[in-house]
Amino acid sequence: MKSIVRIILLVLTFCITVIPQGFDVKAKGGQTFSLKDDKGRNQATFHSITPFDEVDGLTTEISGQLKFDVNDVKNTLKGEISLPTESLKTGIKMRDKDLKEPKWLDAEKYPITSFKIKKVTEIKKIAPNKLTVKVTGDFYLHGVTKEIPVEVTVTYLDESAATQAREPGDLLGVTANFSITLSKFNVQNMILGKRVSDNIDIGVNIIGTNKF
Amino acid sequence: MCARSSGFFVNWFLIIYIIGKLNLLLKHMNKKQKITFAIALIIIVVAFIIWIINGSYIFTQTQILIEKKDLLFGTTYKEWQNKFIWGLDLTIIVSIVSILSSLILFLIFRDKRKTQNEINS
Repeated sequence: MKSIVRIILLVLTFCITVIPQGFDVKAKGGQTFSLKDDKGRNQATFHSITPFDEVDGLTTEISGQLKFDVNDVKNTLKGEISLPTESLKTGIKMRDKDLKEPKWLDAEKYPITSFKIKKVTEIKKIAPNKLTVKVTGDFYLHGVTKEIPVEVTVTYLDESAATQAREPGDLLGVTANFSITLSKFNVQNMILGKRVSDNIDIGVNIIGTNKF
Repeated sequence: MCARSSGFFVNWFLIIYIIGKLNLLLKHMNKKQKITFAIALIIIVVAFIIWIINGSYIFTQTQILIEKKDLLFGTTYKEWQNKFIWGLDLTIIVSIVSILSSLILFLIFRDKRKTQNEINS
């Protein structure tokens, strides 16, 4: 009896990991989405909070691509998102200048900050066109690459009158929230942990199109 | 605990000492100097009240992030909006300018008779 239960569990685990998991939308097959948006709608934000200060930053200069098979996102999702470190803004010009200096992110030496998807660890369908995907990927900042887990919510919208008003083609909405530790990326500063938190919350909200 | 209580007493001692000194200073001021002192004090207090009301930020900001709703995807995104937020840096600058100008006015409004008496003696 026990061996039967084990076999069933094994088969179930195999099915969950191997059976394609993806969107139930009109589109079929492999799709490539460009995440570059010249209107400035795509964005990545960061938030730091300490007892002494709170810093919010934002950039809208995001570029990248996501590739996947609509019906099998779990086994086919690949992609990379990047942004110019120079483009980060905090609402105070002097602080923006400081942020890009060698004592912080050193934008001249490390002009790009990026995230590259390595594998999908978990996938959950919230709606026919909406998935939450747990991915692990390489986050590159300040010349250091670290593998971090990120939970991403992906929404697929087939081309319609509503989507055409925004962009031509099918649209893909991607939102993600995760944290990084600055000291692990060799960002060492006297005021780290005092006025600027070592743990930075990062938010990503981007829209991509497959007609570019 | 001991260090905390000693710090507490030192703070209170300082406050009482400053109040005592101010009281002594007020007694020796003429009317114009008292008005100058009152105006400087009001400016500093108002600057700090504005700073607290604006959210007690360390740095003065000219832009803030506001949340907007994306109706197509049902998500929220952020946008910069021009807004002036009074920070501690500006509060300190206003306070220092206020103190310096009141000190200059203090010297200008000095009791001249006393100076003449000092010369005569």
